[in-house]
Amino acid sequence: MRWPAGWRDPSRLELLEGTPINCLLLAAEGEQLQAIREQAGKRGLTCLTVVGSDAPAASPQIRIHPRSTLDWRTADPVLAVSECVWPAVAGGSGGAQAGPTGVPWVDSNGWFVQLARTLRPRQVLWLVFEPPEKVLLRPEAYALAVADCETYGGRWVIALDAVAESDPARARGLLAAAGRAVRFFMQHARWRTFVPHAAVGILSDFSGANRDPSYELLNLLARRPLPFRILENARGAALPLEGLKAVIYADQQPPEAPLRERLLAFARAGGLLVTGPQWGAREGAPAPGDVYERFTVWRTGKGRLAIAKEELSDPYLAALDVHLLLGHEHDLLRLWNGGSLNVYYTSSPAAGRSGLLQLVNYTTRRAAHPVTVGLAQPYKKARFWDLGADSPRPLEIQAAARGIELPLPEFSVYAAIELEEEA
Amino acid sequence: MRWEPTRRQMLAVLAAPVAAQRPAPAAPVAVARCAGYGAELVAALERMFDQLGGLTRLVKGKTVAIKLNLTGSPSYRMAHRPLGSAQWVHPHVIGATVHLLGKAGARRIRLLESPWSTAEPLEQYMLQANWDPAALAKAAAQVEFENTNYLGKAKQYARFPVPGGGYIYPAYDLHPAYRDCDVFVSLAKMKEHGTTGVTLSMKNCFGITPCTIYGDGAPEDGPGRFPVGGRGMFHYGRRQPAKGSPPEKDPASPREGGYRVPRIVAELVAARPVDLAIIDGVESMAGGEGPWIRGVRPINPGLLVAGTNAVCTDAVAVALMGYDPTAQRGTPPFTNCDNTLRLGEALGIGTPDLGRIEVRGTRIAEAVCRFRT
Repeated sequence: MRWPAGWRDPSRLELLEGTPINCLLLAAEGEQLQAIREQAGKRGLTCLTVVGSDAPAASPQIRIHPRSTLDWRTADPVLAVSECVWPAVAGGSGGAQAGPTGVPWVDSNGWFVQLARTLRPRQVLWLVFEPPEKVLLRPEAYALAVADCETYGGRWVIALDAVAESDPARARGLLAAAGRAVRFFMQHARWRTFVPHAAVGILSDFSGANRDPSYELLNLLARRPLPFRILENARGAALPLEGLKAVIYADQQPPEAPLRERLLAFARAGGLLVTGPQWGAREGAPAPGDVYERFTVWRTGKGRLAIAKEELSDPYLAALDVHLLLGHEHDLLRLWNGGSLNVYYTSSPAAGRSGLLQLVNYTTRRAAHPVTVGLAQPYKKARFWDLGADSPRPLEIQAAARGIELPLPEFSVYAAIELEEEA
Repeated sequence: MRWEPTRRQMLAVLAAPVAAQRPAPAAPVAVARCAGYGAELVAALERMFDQLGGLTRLVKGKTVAIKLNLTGSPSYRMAHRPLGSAQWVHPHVIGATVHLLGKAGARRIRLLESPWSTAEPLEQYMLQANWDPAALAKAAAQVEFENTNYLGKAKQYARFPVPGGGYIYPAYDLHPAYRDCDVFVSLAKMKEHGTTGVTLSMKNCFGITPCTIYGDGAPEDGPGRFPVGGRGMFHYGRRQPAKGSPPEKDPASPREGGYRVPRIVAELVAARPVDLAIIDGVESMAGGEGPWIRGVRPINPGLLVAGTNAVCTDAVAVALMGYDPTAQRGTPPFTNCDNTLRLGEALGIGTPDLGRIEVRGTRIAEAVCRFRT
């Protein structure tokens, strides 16, 4: 938790009682907070002093890296990143804005957590962001802030709003809500070991001029829902493309020869490779293009190579186009009445695979009509977890024209569905 | 560009008032009970078509275009109810109809719809609802799908003048698939509607209009290449169609959906007559046309309705829903709108007078399912 700068009285530590909060980030060294440090230590809490990203690493300090200048090579065991967004439906709870998909935009950090866990899998990821000013959020919004990070394997450094800093009762309520959510995810820590299902691979070096477009592409793909796998082009010929139906190569530079050959081999084997005009030389025979005529498509082997006529500079269109080019035949999941949700679909890496679907609701309110999930995989058993629940509820599985459908109970912030292939 | 009617269009316009002075035609309507979307469906529809004189004489050797009723985004459901059991016509009704048309000798069957704000192929739209378009394609020999919300691979929009000159627009520009067919089928859902009181075979034709011309995002200077947005233009009249398509006759007329939309629907059915109207009232929703309407609820009338005249068929369906098909504005279901059926009657399409319509099969009195209690 980010300890409020105005809290100098150690008695405020009592507000943390009953919560799983075990670490405090303090803004400054020195005498002023010494009493807090001493009392926190007696309560078993770790205190870390926040320093800038360019400060030398030292204990008990923590460096916070602004996302816009983050150097992924940093070796900090805890990768703490600022410049994250407060998760919510864009425009606030009272003024949802519709996006071009007809569903509201949402602000989420989920895609960034996925990226960080791919690029720095051995580091613990903390996201540092504060509640928006001049808005008095409900406790559910704090649970959402936790869920938006934890679902994907990150952790929110809990922070209070200005009103709560001066209102202990409000602070207690907000900390309790956030704490309950944190405890739920701690109880399900094994879910962090699950690996993402994916139909589409997003390939980039995620740096330099490619950083912003690739980040935004991840952000927008997360809204489709089109489960994706993040691919580092540094891995070249060793890219993990198994199970993917499509790969987007959107970097501004053409790929190195081994990577290029790997991607072409993927297409020849039946995959769809989506790229921009920087790809250069094409191969194969002309094939039917996309309905919006933004690509020339070539049939190569059993698959297709789709080359954008103009640069893939609009991440929204790129996310839309890959789904259009791929077609809905390959949808791993479908959502009905899920416009305010982001979904993270993973499975256990162990033998006898089980699936896990986590749904984050950015309105923090129950929808007018409950959500139905469709899955291509014909699971035999499903269990529903509401955020904070001690035990799951069995879910009815309905056979559908394509795969199965799961009618979900109502939920306001977060739900998880455990899926088993065996009844 | 000013719209200059062709000689043929002018003749159609001049001929219409004469037709409108005669009593609007009446045609038989078949009604059947059908408890579900299982095996009983094909038998029920086949019996109804036989009661109407048989499909063979209507479709043998011909190209049949079917306007499907797939309103709104495929990602919305009323609670957990699949779209085909709520706001969309059920896929099994489509499949059964296609099968029977094929069996009756239809040469080519085209499934048409203008899906919400997209140029995606219609099959892709159906997949998002968890439908299996491949199964529909196999229901007869030559089945095609067409997204008519934009021109697609067609070369030019087809112009459809409104006989009598129309109420709001004198003519409409539509995808040529609506012209290049011998038989036009409106395959609709039995529903209420927030703007027009009911959604039946007539209101289904609202969706034959391309949003490249009549959409909120259509360019001012000519048809767009791709559809953007809905048809707020028809509801509120805040702008004119894309240049080159006939503008409104009177931009000073009321800008109210309850006035405009029923007139536009009647015009469309007059301009592109329905040869066969089929209404899926097996499972549906009451209180509105989609889950975005507050207070909608599931309802299972267990009914199918079919006829060769859209006004007559809708009149019987309105009666089956527990309403008077000749009701004036202010009386449910036309509480806040003019009665599309009466407007269609005035255009000479057909009569909503139940006293003039022969009902074959199940009698109305035996099958009424009140949408409002």
